[in-house]
Amino acid sequence: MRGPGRGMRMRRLQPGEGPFLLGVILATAALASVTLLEGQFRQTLLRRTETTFGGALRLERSAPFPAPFLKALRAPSLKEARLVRFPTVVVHGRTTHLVELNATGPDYPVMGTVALRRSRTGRAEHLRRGPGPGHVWVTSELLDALKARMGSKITIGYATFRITGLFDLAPAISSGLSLFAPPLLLNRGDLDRTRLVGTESRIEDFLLVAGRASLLTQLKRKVRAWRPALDVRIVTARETRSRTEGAIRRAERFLNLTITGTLLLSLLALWLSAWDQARLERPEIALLRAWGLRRRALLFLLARRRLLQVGVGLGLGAALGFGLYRAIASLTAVLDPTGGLAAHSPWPGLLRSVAMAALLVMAGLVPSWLWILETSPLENFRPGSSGTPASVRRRVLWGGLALLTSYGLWYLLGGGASLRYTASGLGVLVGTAGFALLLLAGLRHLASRGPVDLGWVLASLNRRSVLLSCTLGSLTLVVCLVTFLLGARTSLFAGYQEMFSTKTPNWFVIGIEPGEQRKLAALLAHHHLEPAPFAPLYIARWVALDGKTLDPARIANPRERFWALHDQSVSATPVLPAGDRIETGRFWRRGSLRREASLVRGFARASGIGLGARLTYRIAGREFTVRVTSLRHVRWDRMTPNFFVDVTPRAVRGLPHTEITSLRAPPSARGWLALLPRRFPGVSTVDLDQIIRELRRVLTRASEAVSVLLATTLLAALLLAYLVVAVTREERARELTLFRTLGVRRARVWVWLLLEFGLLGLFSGILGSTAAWALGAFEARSLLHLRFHPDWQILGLAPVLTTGLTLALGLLAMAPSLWRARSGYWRSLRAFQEL
Amino acid sequence: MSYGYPASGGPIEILREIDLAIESGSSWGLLGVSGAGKTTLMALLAGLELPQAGSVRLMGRDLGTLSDDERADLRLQSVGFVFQTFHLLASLTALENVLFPLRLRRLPDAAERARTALAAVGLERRLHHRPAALSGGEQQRVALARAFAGSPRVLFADEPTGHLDSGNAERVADLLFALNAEQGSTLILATHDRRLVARCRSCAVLEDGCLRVGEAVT
Repeated sequence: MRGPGRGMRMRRLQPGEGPFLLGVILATAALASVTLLEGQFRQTLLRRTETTFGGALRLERSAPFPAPFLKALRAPSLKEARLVRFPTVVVHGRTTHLVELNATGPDYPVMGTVALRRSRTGRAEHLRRGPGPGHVWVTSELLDALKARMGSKITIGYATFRITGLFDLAPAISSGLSLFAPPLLLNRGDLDRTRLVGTESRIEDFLLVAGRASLLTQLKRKVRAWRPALDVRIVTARETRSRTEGAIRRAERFLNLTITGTLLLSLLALWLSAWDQARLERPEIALLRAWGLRRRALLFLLARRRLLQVGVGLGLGAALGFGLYRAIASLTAVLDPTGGLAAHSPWPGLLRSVAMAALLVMAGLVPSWLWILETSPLENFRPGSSGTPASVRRRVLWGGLALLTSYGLWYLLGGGASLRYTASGLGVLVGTAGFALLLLAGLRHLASRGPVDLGWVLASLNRRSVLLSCTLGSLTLVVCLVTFLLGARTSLFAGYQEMFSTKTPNWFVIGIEPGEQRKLAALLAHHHLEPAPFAPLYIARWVALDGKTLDPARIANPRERFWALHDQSVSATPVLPAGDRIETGRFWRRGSLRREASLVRGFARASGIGLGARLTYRIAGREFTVRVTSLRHVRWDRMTPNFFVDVTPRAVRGLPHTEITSLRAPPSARGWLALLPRRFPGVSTVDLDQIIRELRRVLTRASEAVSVLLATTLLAALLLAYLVVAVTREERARELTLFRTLGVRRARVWVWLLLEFGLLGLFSGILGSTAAWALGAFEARSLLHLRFHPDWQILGLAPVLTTGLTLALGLLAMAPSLWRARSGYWRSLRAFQEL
Repeated sequence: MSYGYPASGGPIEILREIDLAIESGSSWGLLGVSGAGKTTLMALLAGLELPQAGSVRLMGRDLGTLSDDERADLRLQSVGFVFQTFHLLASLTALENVLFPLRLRRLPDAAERARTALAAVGLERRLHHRPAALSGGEQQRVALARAFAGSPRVLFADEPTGHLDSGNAERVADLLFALNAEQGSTLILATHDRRLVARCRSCAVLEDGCLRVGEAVT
C-alpha cells in the first residue's frame, strides 16, 4: 500500500484544489491583516490613553506613600515615577490664585511627554522630564490670572520659584475641569522648601508605573497585600473616567466587532472550501478503501498530503496578510511612532492568525474525511450521494465540535474576537439556515408545478438543501455584518462630527457666583458668545448611605471610601440634561418637590449605590438627604458640564454653590476669555482646545482604523460569497453543458443562471439587511454606546447590491466552466465524466 | 467529413473522410472497439460537435450552416440522445428528468408521456427517486425514457444496454426497435453488442478512424 499512498502525497494540484489553496491563502491573509491591524490600533489607542493617564497603572493614596511600601514595590524592569498633588495658593506680587500643585520626581513621566512652550507664542517642545529645581511650569491661564510673565517669580508656601515654561498638556496632570484650580508643575525636590507638606497633610500621592504586563500583575499582587492597612487605590488607564474614554471604548468595540466579523467570515470561507475539497476526494478515497487501505492509515495519508498544501497556503496567506497590514498601515499613517509601534511586535498576532486559520482548515477537512471514511466505498463512488442520515448527523456533529474547539483555542491564544459577538453572528447564521430549510420545504412543492424555467431554478436551488441553507446563511451573515458595520461606522462618524462640530464647546467657565451669572451672560452675549445653560455646582461631602454614617476606615469598597474622603461635585437640574439617557428608573418631572438624585450608572455601580438608596450629603455644615431614583448614561465627550450626581433643585435650595458653563469661542476670543477672571474674581476659564485636539487625533486614528478594517472585512466577505457560489461550480457547469446538449438555447441557460444567483442574492440581501437593522436597533446602544442612525440608503441598497454582487460573483465563478462549455459540449461532458 | 482535436502530445485524428448516409426511419448500428470514435461520430451526427472538414446534414439541414441556437432547437424538437454515462440531472427526480425536455417543448401531455415512458422501461415504482438513489441500470433506463418520451424523429443511443442485465437489455432493445418500427423514428445506435447490431436494418464498423459501411455482422 506504499504505492498509492506515495502517489497521493506526491501528486500535483488537481482541478478543484486551486480554489481551495486560494481560499486558504485569502482567508489567512484577511484574518492575519485584520488581527494585526486591530492589534496595532488597539495598542495605539491604549498607549495614547496611557500616555494621557501617565502610565499603564497608577497607585493612588490620600496621604504620602510610606517608604517601606515603595521599597517593597520596586522591581528592576519597572518604570516608576511619583507625583504629589494638592491644592494650594500661589502668590505673585499682590495677586493670589488657587492652583493644583503637582510635584514631579526625576523619573516623571514614565509614559508620554510634556508639551512645553518657553514663550506664549513659541512652538511646543516635547520633553520627557518635569521642571528642574527652583523652576515651575504653569498653564497660560494661570500666567494670565497671576498677571505674571515668563521668568516672573512666584511664591508657594515659604519658597520662591521662577516660571520657566508654559505647558499645554502633561501626562497624569488633570485638566482642571473639576478642580477650579489650574495645574502647576514643580520639582518634587523643592517640596520640602515650601513646608506645605507634613506627615498629616491631606495630599494625593500617585505612583505612576509602566512595564511588562507580567510585572504589573506582580505589582498589583504586592499592593493588594499592603492595601488593607494603607488604603492604596489601583487605577488603570482603562478605568479612568477621562473624556476620551467613551469615544475610545466605542472605537474599541467597533474594532472588536470587525475582528469577530472577519473571523466568522474567514471561518466560513475556510470551512466551505475545505468541505468542498473533501467532496472532490471521495472517489479517490473510496478507491483506496476498496483496495484495502485501513481507515487510520488513509486518514494519516490524507492529513500528510494536505499538510504541504495547507502549509503553503498558510505561509503565503500570512505573508500576504502581513504585507497588506504594512501597506494599509503606512498608507493611512496609522502607525503612530509615539503610539508604541516599537513596543508592538506583529509576531504574536501573526502566529495567532496562522494557528487559527490552520485550525479552521482542519475543522473543515477532518470531519469531512471522517465522514467519507465512515461512508461505504460504494456510496462514495456515487457523486450525488450524501450518505445515511446518521452519518450526516455525525458529520455535522464532528464539524460543530471541531469548530467549537478551534474557537476555544483561538480564545485561549488571546484572539480578539468577543464571545458575545461571535454567538450573535452564529445565531444569525443558524437562524437563517433554519429559515432557509423551512422555505425549501415549501419550494419543493412549487418546483414541479410552476413554469419550467422557474421550476428548474427552484429545483436547482433545492439541489442540496443543507448546502443551500449554509450558503444562504453565510451570505446573509455577510450582508448583515457589512451592512451593520457600515451603519455603525456612519453612527460612529456622526458621533465624532457631533463632538467636533463648529458648535462643540471649547471653553469652560467655572466658579461663577450666582449673582454674577446675569452680568457674565450679558458680557458673553456682547461678544457674540453663546454659553451652554448655566449649571449649579455644589461641593458636597457624602456622609451617610441609607441613614448610616460613612466611616472611611470601615468601608471596604475603595471607590466608596474615596468619595467618603473627598468632596464631590453635585449639580441640581429641573430636567434631564441634553445628551443624557436614563438607563434604570425614571427622571423627575420639572418642578418636582421631592428630594431625588440621578447618578451616572458606572459611578453608582463602582460606589456600591443602587436604585432606591438614600444618600446624605453635607454642604457648608448643612446636611440633606436624597433618594436615588434613576441611573443615567452620560455622553462625556459632549464637552458640556456633566456630573456624577444630579439632584432635584428642591433638595439643595438655599445651599451655597457656584455656577459652571461651557461655550464655543473662536481663537480670536482666546486672549479676552483668559482675562475674564480679572473682571469676575473667583471665575476660572479652562481652554479645552488642547484636549479636543488630542481627542481629535485619537479619533482620527480610530476612524482610519474603522475604515481600513471595514475594507478588509469586505474583502473577506467577497471571498466567502465567491466560495459559496464556487462550491457548486462543477455541478452547475455539467448541467449547463447538458442543457445545451438537450437543446436548450444559450439565452435561456443564462436566464436560469441569472435567476438562480439573483434569487440567492436577493433573498440573502433582504434577510441580511433586516438582520442588520434589527442588530442596529437593539444592539448598537449596548455594543457601541451610541444612538444607531439606520442608514436607510445602505439598508435599502443592500439587497440590490447583494443581488448584483452574487450575480457577478456567480458568473465569475462560472466563467471558466462556461468558457469550456462553449468549446464543444461533447468534449465538455466527457471532461465532467472524467472528473 | 473528418474530425480531430489538438492534444499536448500532438493532434489526434479520430475520424477520417467519413462518408455516410442513413435513411430516414431506418435503424443503423455502429460497431467498433473502445476508442474507435463511435461516440464522437454519434455526437457529430447529432450536431453536438462540428467536423473540421466536410459537413453533416440532419433531416435535410446542413448543421454547419446553422447557428448554435438553431442546432439546439433542432435537437430539442427532433433528436433524442441516450448517453453512455446517462448524464441525468442530479437535483431532479426520475420523473422530472424525463419531464424536463418535454416541458421545454411545451407539450400539453408532458406528464402523461413521462409516466408512460418510465413505465415502459419498468421504472413506474421509481418515479420520485433522484439519480443518486438509483442503480446504474436504472439510471440508464431513465436516460432512455428521457430520450424517447418526446417521440423524436432521430434517436441516438450510445451503448444503450451497456449497464443492463440480459433481461433488461432485451426489454430495452425491444423498446427501441418498436419505437423505430411503430413511430418511424430513425434509430442510430453505437454498441459493442453484435446481437443488437444484428437487429438493425443496416450497420457499419468503425476502425482506425475509417468507416466500413455494410460490413457483415457475424
